[in-house]
Amino acid sequence: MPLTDPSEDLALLTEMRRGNSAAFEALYRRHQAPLYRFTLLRAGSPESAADIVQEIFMGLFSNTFKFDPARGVLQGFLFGVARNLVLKREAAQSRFVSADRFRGGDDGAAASHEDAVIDPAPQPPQRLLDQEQAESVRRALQQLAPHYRDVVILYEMHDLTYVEIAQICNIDIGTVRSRLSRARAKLVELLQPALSGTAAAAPRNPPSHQQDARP
Amino acid sequence: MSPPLNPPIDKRVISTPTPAQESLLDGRLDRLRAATASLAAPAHLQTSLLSAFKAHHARQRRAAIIAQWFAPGVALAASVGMSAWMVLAPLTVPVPDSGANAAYLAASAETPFVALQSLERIALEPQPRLIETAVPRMWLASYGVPVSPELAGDSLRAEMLVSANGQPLAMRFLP
Repeated sequence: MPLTDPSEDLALLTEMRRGNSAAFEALYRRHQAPLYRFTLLRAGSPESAADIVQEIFMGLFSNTFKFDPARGVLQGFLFGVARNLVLKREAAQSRFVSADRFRGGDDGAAASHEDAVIDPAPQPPQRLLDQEQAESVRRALQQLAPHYRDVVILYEMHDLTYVEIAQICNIDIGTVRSRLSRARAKLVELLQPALSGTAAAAPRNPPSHQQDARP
Repeated sequence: MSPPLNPPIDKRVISTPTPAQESLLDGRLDRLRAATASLAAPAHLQTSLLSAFKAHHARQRRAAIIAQWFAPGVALAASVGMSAWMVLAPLTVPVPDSGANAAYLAASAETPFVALQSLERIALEPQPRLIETAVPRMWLASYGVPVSPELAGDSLRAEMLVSANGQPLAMRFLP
């Protein structure tokens, strides 16, 4: 479910296009933090995250990124733009890895990289969070392949639905489910030493993505 | 040696987590969510974006004002210029520079057609034809051209514009 009211977003967007700076400021305040968090967890660098957020909003007011309300809500559109900008940066940085692995689609040619849950060319580790357990999860997340990371971040950190994630990542809902399931399994595997230490105190509730009512 | 382009498929090696492990993972993800909840883009970004937004719209407004005030003037100047050019520029007909056509057109330029009927009649003729013919010099006398009696029996080459029923409409002499 969207974090902001889509109709209010649309009204602000209309005002922004008329040159109303207060409307632009309001739009920025509503969306900058989730976009920054998404790009920070996705790209693993505060500098890249800030640059991408800046690029998103520059593109929004200069109409470089054209939002069509008929095709979805503004928040999903902005997440999609953020994801594309991260992919663009990764593709530029990755000179020795085939650009195919960055595609979101599930065509036959991409089948081999699609199954790889671990990123073959991860970013160098950089400590971003003070809280030790949170930082360990973030690092584990960073080890996932980018197309798995997208789904986990959007679902677990931003409460988006499968449908919204499917639209943002340009994949079908079944793929969202399978990626989320496999990414979580891989995260458990990566965090195994830490999780086993606290297993005794763990509650016996079903996992969130199985009991969640989100479509 | 370059690394393989296709990373290894590790689908088979991921084991399905137990519910307990899933719950623990949810707890860790909640911690990550809590730890990142207060994160936001640097404060200076808002200031710089707002400045860029204002500058962008100021440029757009200036462009709109320029278009609004100067566009009619530019259009008027263009119209005047075009009209002046049409009036003042000499009307030239390109002449092919070789062969019979060149000689023909050169001759045409020297001997204009003489209307034998009113211009309205010629203009209204639905199917005029241009024929080359020889006319007796004496024929010129009927149009008021003086003819020497010694040459009255000669004939002249001429091009004649005739109507569909053969009535002469215009004529010119060929050298």
